[in-house]
Amino acid sequence: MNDIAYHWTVRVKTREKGESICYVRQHNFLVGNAVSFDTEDESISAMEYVLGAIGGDLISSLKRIAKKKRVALDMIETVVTGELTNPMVYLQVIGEEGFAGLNNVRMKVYISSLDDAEVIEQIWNDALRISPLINTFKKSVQFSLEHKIVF
Amino acid sequence: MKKPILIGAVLYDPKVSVIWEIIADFFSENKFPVDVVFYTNYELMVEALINGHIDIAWNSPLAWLYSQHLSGNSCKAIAMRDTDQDRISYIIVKKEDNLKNLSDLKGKVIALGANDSPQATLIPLQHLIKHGLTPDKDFTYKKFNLLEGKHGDHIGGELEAFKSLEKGEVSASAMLDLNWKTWTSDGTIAPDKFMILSETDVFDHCVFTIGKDFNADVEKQFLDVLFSMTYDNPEHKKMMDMEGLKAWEKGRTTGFNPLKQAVELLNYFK
Repeated sequence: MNDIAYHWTVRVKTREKGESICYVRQHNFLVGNAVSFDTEDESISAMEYVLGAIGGDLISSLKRIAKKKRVALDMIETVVTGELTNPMVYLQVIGEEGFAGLNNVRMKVYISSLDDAEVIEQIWNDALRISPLINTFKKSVQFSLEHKIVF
Repeated sequence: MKKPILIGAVLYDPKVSVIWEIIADFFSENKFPVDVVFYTNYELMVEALINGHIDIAWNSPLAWLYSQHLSGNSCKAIAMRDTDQDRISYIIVKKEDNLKNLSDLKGKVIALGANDSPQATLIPLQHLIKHGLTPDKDFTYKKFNLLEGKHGDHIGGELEAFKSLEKGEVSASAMLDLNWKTWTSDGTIAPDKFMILSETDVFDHCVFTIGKDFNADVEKQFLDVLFSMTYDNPEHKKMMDMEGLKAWEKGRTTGFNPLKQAVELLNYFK
């Protein structure tokens, strides 16, 4: 750990119906199962939070860089899809083997701006360089990132 | 706490685990705890049933026959879905090919599902043999062997077989009546271009199976809880819609004869 490292802490504890509650500074939120295969599940799974966090990570980095460069990004939207290598391992299916983690994450990002495409490209490249979660997950998960500038 | 009964089930899709969670919760609420043990294929699960590692198996029709094969016919079929009873498989052809009956398939290629699919491979083959067509002599076949071990529960092989017919690679394909109904309704199959050439005998599908040593009182308690599930209850309806049933019925074995004949004709367990 170097001298300028910074850390964050959240506290998570059990709650009813298999949920956990996560306390973050003065906020809290509920986490459902690790992953859920029920499209009508009332809880947000840990996996869905992670995918949301990855999307939020990149969007916030794009906005931060654009602000510094005084470039107006009217709207940014992304669809993030994560795929488990073998979900049957999580479900403890007898006879199934393999890796229980994510195999790949796909992101398609739509950036709405009237600015020059070249400037947006530079913002995009800078955002990929500084986004903490993207850079962390890229070390272990195959990332497929696409972006499109729309007007 | 009462010791849970162990129910075995094969997962062909992670979504199926949701069905079993609802069933397990319902049994727990009714003071009959069950644990569901998932298996990757039917062979493993049937062997677990015969070896006493699980108490009840949710068997495919082929897994039922395998249970009987391994146990010396001592297993018991105790319950099934209403939709498991009286199923039919169809031999589908293109209308434009002008095929009128099964004998017109002589010299043709027929697309089938997975090696172990009762509905899309084994029973259709039995049907063709019964009507005088010998495989590899009178016709050849192309199998779409997706996810072997799951006994065609994963209907991908059946769908691939149809797509092969659609592309003109083969002259016919086999599929379950329920899939024909779904696929002609959702646009997967154009009903004006394809037709049912022939129907197999009716057969039964999945069944809850127990071994000979399963306690009769526990069996009765299990069935009492199972049969108390109703389509009118919204929570049960969700599970029943996902699993494709409106009611649970008593198990019967009379509907396994076409598959039994197929297994014997094809020496499947040899």
